[in-house]
Amino acid sequence: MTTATDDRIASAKIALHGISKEFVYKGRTLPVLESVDFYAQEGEVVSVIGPSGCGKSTLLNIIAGLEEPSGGTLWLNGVEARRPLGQVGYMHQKDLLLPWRTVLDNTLLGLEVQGIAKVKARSRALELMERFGLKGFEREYPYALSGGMRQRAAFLRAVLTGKDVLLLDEPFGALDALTRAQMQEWLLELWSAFRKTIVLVTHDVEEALFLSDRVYLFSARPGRVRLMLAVDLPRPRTHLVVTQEPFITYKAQLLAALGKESTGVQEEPWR
Amino acid sequence: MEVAPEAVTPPMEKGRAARKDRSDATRVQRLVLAWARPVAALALLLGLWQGAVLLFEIPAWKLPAPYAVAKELVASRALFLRHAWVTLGEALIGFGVAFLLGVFLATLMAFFRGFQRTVYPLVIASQTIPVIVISPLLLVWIGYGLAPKVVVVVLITFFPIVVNVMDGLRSVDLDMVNMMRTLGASRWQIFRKVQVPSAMPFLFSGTKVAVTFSVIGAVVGEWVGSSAGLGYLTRVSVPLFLTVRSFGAVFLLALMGILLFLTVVLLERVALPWHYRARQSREEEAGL
Repeated sequence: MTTATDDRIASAKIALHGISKEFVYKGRTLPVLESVDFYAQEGEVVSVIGPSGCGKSTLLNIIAGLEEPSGGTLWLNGVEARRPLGQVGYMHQKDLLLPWRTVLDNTLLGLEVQGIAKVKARSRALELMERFGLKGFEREYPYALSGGMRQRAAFLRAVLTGKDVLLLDEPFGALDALTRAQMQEWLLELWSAFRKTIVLVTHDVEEALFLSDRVYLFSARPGRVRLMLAVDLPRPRTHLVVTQEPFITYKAQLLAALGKESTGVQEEPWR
Repeated sequence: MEVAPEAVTPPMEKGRAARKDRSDATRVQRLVLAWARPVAALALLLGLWQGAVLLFEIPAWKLPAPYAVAKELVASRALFLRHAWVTLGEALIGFGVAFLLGVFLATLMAFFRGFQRTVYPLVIASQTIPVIVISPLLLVWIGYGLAPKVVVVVLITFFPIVVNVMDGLRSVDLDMVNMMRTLGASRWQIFRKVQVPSAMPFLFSGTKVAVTFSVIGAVVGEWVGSSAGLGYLTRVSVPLFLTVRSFGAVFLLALMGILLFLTVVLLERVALPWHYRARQSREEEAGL
């Protein structure tokens, strides 16, 4: 292993080296991820895109500790982690709000699990309600909220855990285009306020470019890193950026690579 | 360009919350409508019955008219009340035991696969035993008093509770469980904060069935051997040609079942407002 890799692992918030994952399904072994190298620096927004079934969500599950890799090593904060459950915030495409809890009680779930005093947790949550567009809805049950609000409540739940890494699995995938665009800008606002390390899985090229510092493009199953693109766009960004020059070039680059993946044309793996 | 964070906060989408100001008038109207139809149907049925008895001059010992039954209920109200209390007591004690037993068994079965495999077949087998066959034996085994009736009620009512609670505990959304795990929740926290609440609607469904059955169980127990209760009353009245009294007892049994059922519905509404209101809102959306 080169010293450059060692340094990167030591300084990165998240680092994966040679991660692979296989599932056994009806007696057959199904490789989902193959020798994936991946890292995210502190405060970075990193996206993972790729065709469906390329193991993007499995990657997040491994970082979150929900699944154990079949091979390779995972580091969190420079420390090797086996099943790091409870160490990172994780937000699913589905909001997964508990229907029997009010919005407030849902957002408190992480703190409650950690055993943090109710009063303290409550005041911390209430402070952030306005910023998350949930003010006045604290005592409502989730069914009474719109999709965007539910997603923001789920996001607040993840933020309130206090973890400095957030994994977002297609967080806006279930929202309509307009709401999604608003949520993306809002996410960037939040990010500049909280400076968390964010790993975002998406199948939307524009979303990946708009939000990220770097984009990883995965191959079709088994997922391998095909391309790693540094997105050199000034921050803060607004949606105007998507119509401007560097963005368009990036987008063309990613779409071309993605197109090859989807049609199954194999190229020399990116190194 | 600098934008204040508040300005970036997305506008409130039109949520279902907006529809909360449904006017009270429509709510009352809906309530009336909901009750008007079953009451009208019942009245029509009773009217036809009364008419048929009068028209065909059916003797009261064969088929008493509803009016005669009502008169008997009022005239012998002390008698009816005394026997109703006995039956209600048997039903409720039996149901209570079945409830505790059912929840306990279901929880163990949901937690331990091995226990489930061992015990579930026995639970199902217990339901295939004809109660009418085992009831006389119960008299021989545990005597003539309250105990055999309670046992019959337990036998009949614990099954819907076990099945529903077990299904409820196991039908938990696994994505929710995983979400809890990523928050660092323990197995016990997941059980208490996710599995138990998500099983509650199932528990209430099982309970609705169970309380209604508990009345039947008590009557079956009384038929085999007893000296009190509405079941006993129906049994001794027919040979005495007091069919009208028998009908009065049956009417009270039906009323008891309905009231017990409604009590559980009401408890469910109070205990699980999230479930009740979410269902209502979903049904409205689906036009049901």
